[in-house]
Amino acid sequence: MLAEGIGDAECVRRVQQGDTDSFEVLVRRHQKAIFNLGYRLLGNYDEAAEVAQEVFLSAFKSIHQFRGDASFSTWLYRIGLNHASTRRKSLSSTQQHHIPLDGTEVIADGTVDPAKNFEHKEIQHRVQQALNTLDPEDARIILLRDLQDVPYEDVAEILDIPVGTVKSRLHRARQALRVCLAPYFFANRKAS
Amino acid sequence: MNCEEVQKQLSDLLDKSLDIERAQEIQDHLAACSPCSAEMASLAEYQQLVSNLPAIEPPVGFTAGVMAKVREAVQPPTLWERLFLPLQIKIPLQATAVVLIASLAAYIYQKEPLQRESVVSIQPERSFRKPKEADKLAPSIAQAPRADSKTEVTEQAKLRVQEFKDSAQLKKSQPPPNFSPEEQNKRIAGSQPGATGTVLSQDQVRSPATLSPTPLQEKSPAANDAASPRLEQSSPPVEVQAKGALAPVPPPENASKDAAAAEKPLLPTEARRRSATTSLNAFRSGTVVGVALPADHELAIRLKTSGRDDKAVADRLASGGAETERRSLTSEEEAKNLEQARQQAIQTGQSQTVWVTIARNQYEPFKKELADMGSIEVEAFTPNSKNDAIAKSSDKLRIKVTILPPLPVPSQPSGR
Repeated sequence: MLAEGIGDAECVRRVQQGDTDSFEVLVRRHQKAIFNLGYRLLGNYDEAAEVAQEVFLSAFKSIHQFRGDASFSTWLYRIGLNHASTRRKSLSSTQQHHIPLDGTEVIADGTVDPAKNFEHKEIQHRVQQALNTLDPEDARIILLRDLQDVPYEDVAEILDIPVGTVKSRLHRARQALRVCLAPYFFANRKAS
Repeated sequence: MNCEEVQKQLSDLLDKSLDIERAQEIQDHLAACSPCSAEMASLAEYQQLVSNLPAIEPPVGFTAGVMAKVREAVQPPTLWERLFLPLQIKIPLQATAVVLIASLAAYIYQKEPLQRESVVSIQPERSFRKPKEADKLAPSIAQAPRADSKTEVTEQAKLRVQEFKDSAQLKKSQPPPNFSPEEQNKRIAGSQPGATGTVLSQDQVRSPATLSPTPLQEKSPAANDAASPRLEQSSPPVEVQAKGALAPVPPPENASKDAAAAEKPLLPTEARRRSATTSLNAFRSGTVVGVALPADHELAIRLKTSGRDDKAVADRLASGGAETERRSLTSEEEAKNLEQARQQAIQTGQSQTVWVTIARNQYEPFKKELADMGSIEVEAFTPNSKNDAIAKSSDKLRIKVTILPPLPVPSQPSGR
């Protein structure tokens, strides 16, 4: 019987005591965040799935090193970013990022208008492209703060930098993203 | 607050991480400044683009896949995995271990036979050859090249002379040339009762090669010079025999050629084999006198043929007299044991074994003393005592002396 209702800390404690099933709770709870973080960093669905699996396996193997100083999600994000960054480096050295528009994405506002749907997909595609062309450091901090909505303190913990540095780096990263996307949106607005 | 300061904090305002007063100040500035307000709107728009990115669902069965791998990692590794994985580490380690063990085994295997050989210097397979076989081979010595003059010696003889010091002493004690073998035999049996040099054994007397009476040093001064630096080294009497046999000299002029042919001289190696066979037979049927103790050295002495010399030795052993040196080597009881063993060996024709303890530095004089009784055929250092710390540290030396009975005197050739 899986203890779905218990907190991360308790699950971790149980896993550390040898209850492997409790780890499944943690996987179910965090798989989406870790998978999406990987997907947005890599821009490839299969690669993201593979990396997410590696992240959980790595977390399980080193769970005895987790002392509970930070939250489990913070610890898991750090592992996820390390794995995804390594994979991104190896991918960038061998091939261009694969940015699919394959219908796997769910439109946030649920519109059924095909024109609107297409426009949304196009915007998402451009944003993903911009994230993949950004400096990895900038991409990571934008994804943690704007996509995952991780608090400043946790971002600082995950990236192992001071909170002040997080703020300044986040401002710089947003400016960089705007520079990347500005040509498309400027032309789009002009056309409309 | 100017525009530059405001624009630096727009990101914080967007994230609502400013305190209320600061946020109010910026909001007031934005209301009055259209460029800063446009910047704020643009920033918020791009931030929304990221945050509005849809959440992607992981593949179906993702959790099951992860848990399957997790449970795989939990299971203990199999015997094969524990022994051989990871291959790149375990295989070189195991290969190195195998090579080391094999080398060690080979080293031990090679070392052990050497120790055995150092104890028994006589090869059993040689000694088991029947004397008759040696006799069959003997005629070939008659065809061996002989020196034409007294000053000529073969190269082999020179080498032998260089190798063994006793050969020089032996030749000094030998009679001058031109004696018949019979006369020489008599001279050897009764010569120089008090001589300290090595006396020819019965076996040597029997060997036709040693019948050649001319000393090598007289024949070849060069050979003598070469031999002199090695005089202090000891050499087994069997090798002396070989030396004599390899340096054949012309037979005495007054000896008939038929008689020389009838002697059927033995090949040196065959002569040694015969001697060894007899020695082993004596060992097998021997008697042990005294308490068998681990010995540092082992000596085997072939007694001389009984005669005047024998009596002289017995007298010396019994009386002591001027032989004060001998008394200092062994105790009175051990001297008595030695003499008894010698008598027993002569009477029974079986080997006798006696244990003697002497001072370590008296080993060489003791050997000389034994050389008076007969020829030392075997001299072996017992490897067992290498590990005997007490024996090593002690000044005393334990010697196992095996006294072999004299060889029977061969029947005189019919042609004489």
